Amino acid sequence: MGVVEYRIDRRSGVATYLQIVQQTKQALRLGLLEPGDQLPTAREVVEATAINPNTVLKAYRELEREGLVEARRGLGTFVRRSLGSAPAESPLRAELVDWAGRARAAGLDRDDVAALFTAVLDENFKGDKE
Amino acid sequence: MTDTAIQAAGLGRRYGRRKRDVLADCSFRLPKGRICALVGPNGAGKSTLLAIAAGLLKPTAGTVEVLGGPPTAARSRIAYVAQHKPLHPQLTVAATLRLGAELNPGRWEQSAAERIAYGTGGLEPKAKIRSLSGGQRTRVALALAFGKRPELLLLDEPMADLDPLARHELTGALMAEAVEHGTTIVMSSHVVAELEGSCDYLLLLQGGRMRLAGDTEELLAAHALLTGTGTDFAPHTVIERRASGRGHTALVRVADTTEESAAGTTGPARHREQPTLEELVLGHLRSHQAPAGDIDHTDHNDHTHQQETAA
Amino acid sequence: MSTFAVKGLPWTVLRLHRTALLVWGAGLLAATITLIRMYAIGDDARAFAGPCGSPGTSLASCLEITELTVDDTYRDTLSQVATVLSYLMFPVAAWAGGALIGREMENGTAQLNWTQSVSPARWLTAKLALPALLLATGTTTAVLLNVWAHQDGDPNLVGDWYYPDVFVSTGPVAVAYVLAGLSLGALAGLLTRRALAGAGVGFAVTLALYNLLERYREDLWPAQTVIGRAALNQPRSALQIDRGAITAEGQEENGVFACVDSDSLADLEKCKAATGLTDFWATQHPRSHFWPLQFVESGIVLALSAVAVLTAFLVLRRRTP
Repeated sequence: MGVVEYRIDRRSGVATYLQIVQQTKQALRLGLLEPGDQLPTAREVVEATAINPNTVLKAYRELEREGLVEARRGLGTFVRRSLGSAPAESPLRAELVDWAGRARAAGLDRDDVAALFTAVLDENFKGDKE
Repeated sequence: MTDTAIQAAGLGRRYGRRKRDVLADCSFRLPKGRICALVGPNGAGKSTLLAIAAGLLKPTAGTVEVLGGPPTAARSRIAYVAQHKPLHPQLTVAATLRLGAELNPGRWEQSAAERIAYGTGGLEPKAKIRSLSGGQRTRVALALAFGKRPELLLLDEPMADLDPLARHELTGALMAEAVEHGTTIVMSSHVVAELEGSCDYLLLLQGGRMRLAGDTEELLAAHALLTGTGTDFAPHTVIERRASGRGHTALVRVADTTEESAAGTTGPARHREQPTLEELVLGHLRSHQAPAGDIDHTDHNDHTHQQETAA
Repeated sequence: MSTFAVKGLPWTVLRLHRTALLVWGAGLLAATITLIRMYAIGDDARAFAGPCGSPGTSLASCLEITELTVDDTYRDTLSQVATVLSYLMFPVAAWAGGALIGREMENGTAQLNWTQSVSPARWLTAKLALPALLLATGTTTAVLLNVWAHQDGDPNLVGDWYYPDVFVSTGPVAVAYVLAGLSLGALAGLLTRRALAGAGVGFAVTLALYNLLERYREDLWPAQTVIGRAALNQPRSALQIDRGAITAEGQEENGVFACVDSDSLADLEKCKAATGLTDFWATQHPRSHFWPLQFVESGIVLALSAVAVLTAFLVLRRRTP
């Protein structure tokens, strides 16, 4: 099994530690990582990405806080549970599909919908970011 | 044991005949285990500050403590790579590493030095220093510094001569060193973007004076980029303001958060963004170039242009 | 180089100046071989330098002498050795000011050492002590071999003891000069912080020192005064300094060469009557003054070296924390 590699995009505007968190979650969703698998060590990550070690540690702490991974002293950081792939068939999704259809019927184009959606997201998840 | 790597108080350096302060009244404290960017325009005093910390230069004012004592007492625990990477031209790479081993008995780790010197895209042990390119010399200088297993690594413009690949590799090696041994690293550069991802501490020098010093996250959290229709950004302290369309964008030092939320509800509509480290640094540098803290740039393009140049 | 049982800072000094070390070693080897050869042909040279006769007589054969120039070889080679030994301080000073110290100050490698767990003072100590040791032992060896090769010191072959080259190359002064070259050069390198300037200043200062001491050498020890016939017939082995005469009026006149080489007492009386001089005097350094002169001059030169070394350390301490 190869080691998960993080791609850090400094220009994305997304905090570096968040990129690691998101890419780890993505790997969990895609099944690239499963419970018991080891995350790359902080040394491996910083050697490959040249980012600050504290950033990696912060990302791992965040993943640990969410209960996705656990640090075993002297051994490394291991995956505790996987993330089920996005609830594709959930009722929420159906509602969103329904809403998108109505937005389109109301004459909104793709960008309008995206802007509206982002604005609502920002409003509702204000406290969660950072 | 102290948890401070470098502590400076009122540090100054003046060169005799010209009577010019290269460094004046610098006070800061760098905790151990941090990776610190020492940033500032050319001639800001970065090299002078590093040379003083390395125990090579006497300050003419103030005091500095390195690893809990005077810099000269920490000589064996500090590694310093000067800006022009001085090396003995007549030696081979291998002999240069041998020199490091002979001069640092009890500390030297040959494998650490060899990893840097001969690793990926590395050098021939038998190559003479005088035949190396600038980037290859940097590699040897860094290998000497790594082999010493320092507690504090002082690097003056370490990446200037390196191609992007080597820059990435060696920065990664530096970070790995920091993870493994808790090494404190101070890197100077006049290019902020070069250090943005790797550093968690910032020292900003300009004209020999310390403009900003602190944890990068704390510094970023204490600042905001506000865009609004008015010119009034109270209660925040405006560091730099420039025209943006019909309104203004300002880099501000955020006032107390409770005040802010109070003002946010009553004040004019503003868009708030977190500045990048580069925006923060450039904003501070520009504001100090002008006599007043509050300056108005009408040409918005100038802003982006300068950022691109710096990047 | 690992065959050296040398470690740490001394190793780096030897390794960094390996070329100089090799040149010094080769020079010493050449000097040793040359001087042993000179000793070996010394007897022949003496035989052939003397009078000659036809084959079969006890004298050396004149025929051979015209063919063999063993005495010329001996004379010329020893003269060259004397020159090299007495001028050694100049290249040493240029090297110390340039390669040893100046270049390291110029390209920042001195600072590189100072951040490799070596304090500036320790660095300078090693930079001075090791070359001093090697230069002193090497020069001493060469001087001893030179004296040995001179054998009886026949002035027709090796020159008079007071010739500047011969004087310097046959005594401790040679060692003192080389050490002065090292310390003055090192100080020059430290002050100029440039390789070329350090070498130039080191060379110039030692050149000035050499000429100054050569000029005033005879004043470094009280000269012997002789009067009467002895003043007019000074031996070759004495370094003549000044002479004069006393007139009938009882006045002393300096630099009078009248009556010199009056062979007999009668000649002298005749000359006295003709010139109206009543007595003669001369000052000189007899051969016995060789050692006092050597010691005083060595003392002065070594004291100067010590001052230069001390200044170098003070300069370094003032410049670095």
